[in-house]
Amino acid sequence: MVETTPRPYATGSGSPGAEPEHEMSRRRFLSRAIFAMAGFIGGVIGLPAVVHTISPALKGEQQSWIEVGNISGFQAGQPKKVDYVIYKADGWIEEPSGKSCWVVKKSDSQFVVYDPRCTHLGCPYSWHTDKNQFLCPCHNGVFDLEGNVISGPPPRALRRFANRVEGGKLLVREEVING
Amino acid sequence: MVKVLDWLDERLSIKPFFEHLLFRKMPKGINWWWTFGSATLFLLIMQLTTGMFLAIYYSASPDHAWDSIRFIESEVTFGTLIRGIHHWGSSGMVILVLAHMLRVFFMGAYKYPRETTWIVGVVLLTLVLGFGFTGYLLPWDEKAYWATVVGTNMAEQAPLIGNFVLKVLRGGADLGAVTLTRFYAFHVLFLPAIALPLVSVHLFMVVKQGISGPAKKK
Repeated sequence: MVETTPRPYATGSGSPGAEPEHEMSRRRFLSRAIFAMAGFIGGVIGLPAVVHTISPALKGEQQSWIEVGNISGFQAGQPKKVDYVIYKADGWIEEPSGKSCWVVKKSDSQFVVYDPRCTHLGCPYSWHTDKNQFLCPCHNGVFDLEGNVISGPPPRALRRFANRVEGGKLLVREEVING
Repeated sequence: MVKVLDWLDERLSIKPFFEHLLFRKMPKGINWWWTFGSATLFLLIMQLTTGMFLAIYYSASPDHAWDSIRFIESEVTFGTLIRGIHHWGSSGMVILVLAHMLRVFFMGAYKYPRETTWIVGVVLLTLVLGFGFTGYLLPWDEKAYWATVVGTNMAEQAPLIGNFVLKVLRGGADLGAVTLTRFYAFHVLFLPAIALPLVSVHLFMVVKQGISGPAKKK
C-alpha cells in the first residue's frame, strides 16, 4: 500500500511523530485515551484480583480464649499439662484440633502458661518432679520452672501464652506474650 | 490432505510460513547436544496433555485429593499410565531444561545476538521449577505435605518480606485446604498462562535468528 494523499487526520504536515510536543492531534488524543482506558480497566480488575489472592496474608489471626480448667484444679508451683480441643478454620473447613499447654500456678489469680513445644525444634517436653525441671527428650533441652534455659540447645526461654482468670476458670489464648 | 492445505494456502498463503518454520537451515557440525531444547518442548507437550487428562479426575480438596489420585491409579483405565507419564515427565522436564541450559552456557550460545532468548529461557527455568514445586503438593500425601511445609519455610527465610511471602504461598499461616487450591490454580492455570506465551516467544526467537553452530577452531 502506498499513500499518495496526505492523511486527513494528521494536523501538521508529515508524520504524527514529527509534530511539536505541545500539539494535541486527534491521533495522539485517541491513543492516550485508549491507554488511559486500558490502564483504568486493568487497575479496576487487576488490583482487586491481587488483593483477592494475597488477602489471607493480610488478615491477622485472632486467637480466641479457651477455657482449660478450674483454678482449683492446679497446685501452686506444680506444673500441669492440660489438653484441650480448639476448632480451627482451614479455609471453608472447620476441624477440631487437639492442643495442649503447660500451666504453672503462682496464686489463684496469677498463672503462667507455656507453649508445650520446646523452643529448639518444637518437640514436646515434660515436667520432671524429681529434678524440678522441664526436660525435652529430643536433644536434652532443660528449662526451669520459670521457663529459662538451664542447659541444652534451646535458643530461648519457653514461650508463654496469654492467660487470664475469670469466674474461677483459667482461660488461655495461644498468643505468645514473651516475644 | 494436500487439497485441504492448498485450499488454505490459496486463502492465507501459509506455505512460506511453515516452510520457513520446518525447513530452516542448520549450521554445520551440530549433533545430539543441540536437541535438548526440542526434547524439552516434546516433554512440555506431554506434560500439558497428560495434565489435562489428569484434571478430569483430580479433586483439589484436602478431603478428596489423595483419594482422587488413588482412584486414578487403581480404578481408571490407563490412569496409572497417564499419571506415570506426568510424574516422570516432571522430573524429565527439570533434567532436560538444566541440560539445555548447560549446553547453551558452555557453548556460548547465549551471546550476542541471542541474549533475549537466554533471558526468557532463565524465566522459563524458574517457571519449570514452579511447576514442579506446586505439582508436588497435589497428591496430598505425607511427602507432599511436608515437602511443601519445608519449601514454604525456606521462603520465609527471605529478609523482611519472608513471612508475607510464606502467607501468600500458603494462603495463611498454616498449610491447608487454601494452600492446596491455590497451588492447584498456580499449577494448572497461572503458570501455564505465563509459560506458554514465553515458550512461544522463546521459540520465535530461535526460529527468527537461527541457532548458533559449534565454535570454529582458529
